[in-house]
Amino acid sequence: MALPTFDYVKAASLDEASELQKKAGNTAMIMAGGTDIIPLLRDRKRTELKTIIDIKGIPGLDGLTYEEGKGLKIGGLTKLYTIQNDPVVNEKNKAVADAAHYVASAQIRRKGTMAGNICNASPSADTAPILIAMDASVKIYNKETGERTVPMDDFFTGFKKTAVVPENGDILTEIDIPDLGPGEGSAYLDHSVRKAMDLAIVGVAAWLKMDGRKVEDVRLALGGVAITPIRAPKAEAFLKGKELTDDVLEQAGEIASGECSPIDDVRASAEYRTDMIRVYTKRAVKKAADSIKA
Amino acid sequence: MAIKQHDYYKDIESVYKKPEDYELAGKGNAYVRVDAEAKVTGKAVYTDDVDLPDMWYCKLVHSPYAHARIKSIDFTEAKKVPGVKAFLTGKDFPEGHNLGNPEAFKELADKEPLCREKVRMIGDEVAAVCATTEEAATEAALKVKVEYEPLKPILDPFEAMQPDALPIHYPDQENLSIFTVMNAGDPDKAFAEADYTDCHYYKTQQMVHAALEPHGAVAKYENGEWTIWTTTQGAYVSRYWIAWGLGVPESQVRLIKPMVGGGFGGKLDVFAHELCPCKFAQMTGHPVKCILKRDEVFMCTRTRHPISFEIQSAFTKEGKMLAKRCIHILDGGAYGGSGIAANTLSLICATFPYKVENIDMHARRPYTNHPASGAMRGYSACQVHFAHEVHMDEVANALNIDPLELRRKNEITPYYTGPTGLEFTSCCFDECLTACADYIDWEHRFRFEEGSGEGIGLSGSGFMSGTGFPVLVTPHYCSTAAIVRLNREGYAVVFSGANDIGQGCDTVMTMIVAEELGLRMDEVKLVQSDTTATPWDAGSFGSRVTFLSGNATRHAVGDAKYKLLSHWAGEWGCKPQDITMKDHRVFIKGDPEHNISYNEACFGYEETNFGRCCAGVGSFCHEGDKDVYVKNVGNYATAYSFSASAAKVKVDMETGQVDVEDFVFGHDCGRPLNIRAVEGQIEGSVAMGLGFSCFEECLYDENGVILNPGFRDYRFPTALDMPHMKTIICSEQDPEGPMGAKEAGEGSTAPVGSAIANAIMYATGITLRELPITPERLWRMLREHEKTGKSAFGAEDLPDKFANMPPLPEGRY
Repeated sequence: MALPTFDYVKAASLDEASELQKKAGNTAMIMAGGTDIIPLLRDRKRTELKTIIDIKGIPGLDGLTYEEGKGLKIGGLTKLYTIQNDPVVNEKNKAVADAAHYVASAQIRRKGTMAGNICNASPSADTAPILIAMDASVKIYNKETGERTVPMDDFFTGFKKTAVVPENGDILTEIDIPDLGPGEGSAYLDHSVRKAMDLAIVGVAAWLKMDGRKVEDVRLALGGVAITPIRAPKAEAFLKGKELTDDVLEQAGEIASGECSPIDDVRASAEYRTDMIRVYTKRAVKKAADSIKA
Repeated sequence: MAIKQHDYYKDIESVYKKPEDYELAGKGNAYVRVDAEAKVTGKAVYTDDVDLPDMWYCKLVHSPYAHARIKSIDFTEAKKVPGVKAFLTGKDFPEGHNLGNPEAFKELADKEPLCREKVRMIGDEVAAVCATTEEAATEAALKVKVEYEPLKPILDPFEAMQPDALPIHYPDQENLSIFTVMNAGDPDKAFAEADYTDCHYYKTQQMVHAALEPHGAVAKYENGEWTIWTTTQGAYVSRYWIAWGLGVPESQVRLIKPMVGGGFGGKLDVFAHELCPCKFAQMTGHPVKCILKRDEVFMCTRTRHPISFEIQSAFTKEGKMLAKRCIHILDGGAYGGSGIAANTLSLICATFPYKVENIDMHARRPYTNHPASGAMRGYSACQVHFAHEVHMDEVANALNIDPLELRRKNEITPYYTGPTGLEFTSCCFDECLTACADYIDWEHRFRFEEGSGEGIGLSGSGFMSGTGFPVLVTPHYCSTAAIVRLNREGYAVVFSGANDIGQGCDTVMTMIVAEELGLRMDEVKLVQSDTTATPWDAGSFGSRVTFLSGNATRHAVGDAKYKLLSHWAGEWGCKPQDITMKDHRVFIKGDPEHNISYNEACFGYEETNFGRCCAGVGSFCHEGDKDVYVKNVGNYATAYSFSASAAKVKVDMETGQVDVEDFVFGHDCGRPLNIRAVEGQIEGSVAMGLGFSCFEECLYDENGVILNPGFRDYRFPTALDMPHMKTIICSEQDPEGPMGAKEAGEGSTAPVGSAIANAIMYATGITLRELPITPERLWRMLREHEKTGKSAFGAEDLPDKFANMPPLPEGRY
């Protein structure tokens, strides 16, 4: 279908965008890459939308920096394609590059941003689980209340809802991903029918801190199996203090699969998703462990 | 008719180049596609690129119900949208002028240009809107209020056939759009005497063509005549149905086929998006464009028939196939169109590539409230060769015979005539099978333990090369014609009706003319598929274009060549056959006295003919008739192609994901005129076959609403999912094919699904009788296999459904 008519405003500053958004409430929407908004408009899913506020012209939001010991800072306008291909991201935390790479197609990734991917808050968003597993946090700007930091664990607040409240004039400006320390590893795996250009049936991210052969600490995040991406606390608790034998991995997968509550949809049944959480938890933990540099 | 085509064209064929002198045909990189530059630079003009001054836009209003009566249509709100100019409903088209596909079966035409009283599928077109912009047309179409009385949708073809089922079209026809019976020999006797008999069930899914270019049309009306640029696979046939749908003479409709971005069978029929712009152009005086969006292509064009199979076979214990009884039930969806032929074709395909003398088969195509099924690349062969080739492996395993050996014991051999009259000519099926087996190392196939997750499988198939059926009623059953004009300025023009839809026939026709005249490719100009400028052609379907249009073009260039050479033979005191055309020259070999340029040769011809240019006219007829459809006896095509394929797969036994690691394709396409194009066709076939076997399926809810009408959730494989591929061309030149060629575009899709399914069977240890084998389905089967030991899956609902089917109606074909 052809797009409906709408007003297009190119904001010059965060203040302008925040003010405009607050004033317009749910009749306006912030746009970065536009890869989620355009289909929404086309399919008439948000008929109340009258104004698109393009933030691409705001300077300083497209950074990608790394600082030893602190980690990665990813700007609100940084493209997924940039993240996927950045040599430093690939060297310092390949799972983040992998997650960016799983999203949609090369064309979409050249437009779309990681910030947009998480703000769209699809339960199966490929970049969400790794950010949760890495204990990342985001910076949210608001003209009236200033900047605040929200940990990823608190970011997703409900189905398609996040800590970024557009009606209040919130704009996500930065994603901060802590560095991987000694003995730490990470991984993200996505299960889909096609090898690329597909939505995840499930996605599993793992972060591990090993103490010799034993797991000292672990965070697991699951995508596509609840109304938001979720942690798997029981599987995490089970893994702590254990050696990663095949049997332990198998049990961790079983436990994680009991922690999710997926739905049936056109892409997969709840039953299949649940079992794929078992398989991919096992594989993601293994991959995270294998990624730890000797 | 007393005289045969070969006799009629004898003189013309006498000046054809000899195979040993070919400089272009079959020479790997001797030439490139004539449209390559335009396509890779994005300059090629497709239908949506046709923009005319003051052009307006058309949008269609679609039914949200799969089955309903139309109570009222209200344009009040839609009229308020600024820029809206006109509306159409079914009543604006002449009643009874329904759209179909073959003129010869016009009584089966069942699709109103816009529905008048009833809708039969989700997306059925009930009204159309014309506005000055596409946006305004879209908004207005959304505001057209249609009141419906919903009826119970019938989505199961078996339910549709029950006597008490609600009629979808006609109250007295058991919801059957067509049924076909095919018998030969004495199957009852063969079954009684056989050492081995069986009965198995198979099932395939609904697929779409997913051509990159969506369907669309642009129409203008000037001086009492329509000109239409449209996404068609057959300009003449589309013109026929558009004129019929509008209720005007064909003389007042000109149809031009621009570049087409893939057809695959989905662009054979005529649709509302072609009729409505024509009507609006006449009403408003403006050119009008209508391009479908992807979801409209899914719902309102055509799909591949889902087929349910019951196959009974009888073999000797040594593995000789004695007889086959089978029933094919094709879910026809809401309309007939090009889907009518799929019914008969499903039976014809089941009679080869193996010799089976005793057959008892029938096929029924019930209407349902699914989107209409139609032709799709491999026209029933993909479904049939999936079922029948998985069945071959089941038989082989039951008889404890190597599946390759079982196939070779029964394979069709050159010049075999089938029990229903199919006349096979050149045949390299055995070479195809053995080439694939050698490549995949079939001999050591047990290097992968059954159930280990790795395995190899193979299969074989055949296809018609040059479907003779001309669709429209033509003199002498003529399928295609061409005209070639020689120009004294140093070039030739070929006027070809053949419809290039991306497969490359423009290049083939150009090459045939260049080869015969000794010209360069760029010295042959092509005028193609325009009903005013080019001669008759039935269209691109049934693997007929290279074979039939290629022969017509060769007859045309041969006619011109014969005239030219006869003139110079008179001048030089020799026979026309003594003169060679090569490198832009016309000469007697080894005779420097008689050696002139092509330009001089044409000039000299015109000099003695009062300036009349040298031109040739050619045609090609398959000497058959429509009895092949009515009585199901006789020869269907001028030749038959054969294929074999083998796959090596690796299955993730935990997730059900299948990775096809290696794939080999052996194809008997006669002399490959353009080897790169043949390889391209085969690789494309493997992609489509992989999609068919493991990826693609249209999904519906209980109301008939399609759940995945877009490329996000209708997943066809992409480049990363493709296996490593090896193409082996196993051919000899065909005696009838143009320069020895046979088809290479459709038959090549047929054995792919079964090779992959058979490979998965050996990799997992379970037999798969239903497609697609998606990861979740395979995961489910593997788990059940582990729990219960069940070892064959799919089509579990069919034994009951076949058992409860009403008897065949009598007296109609």
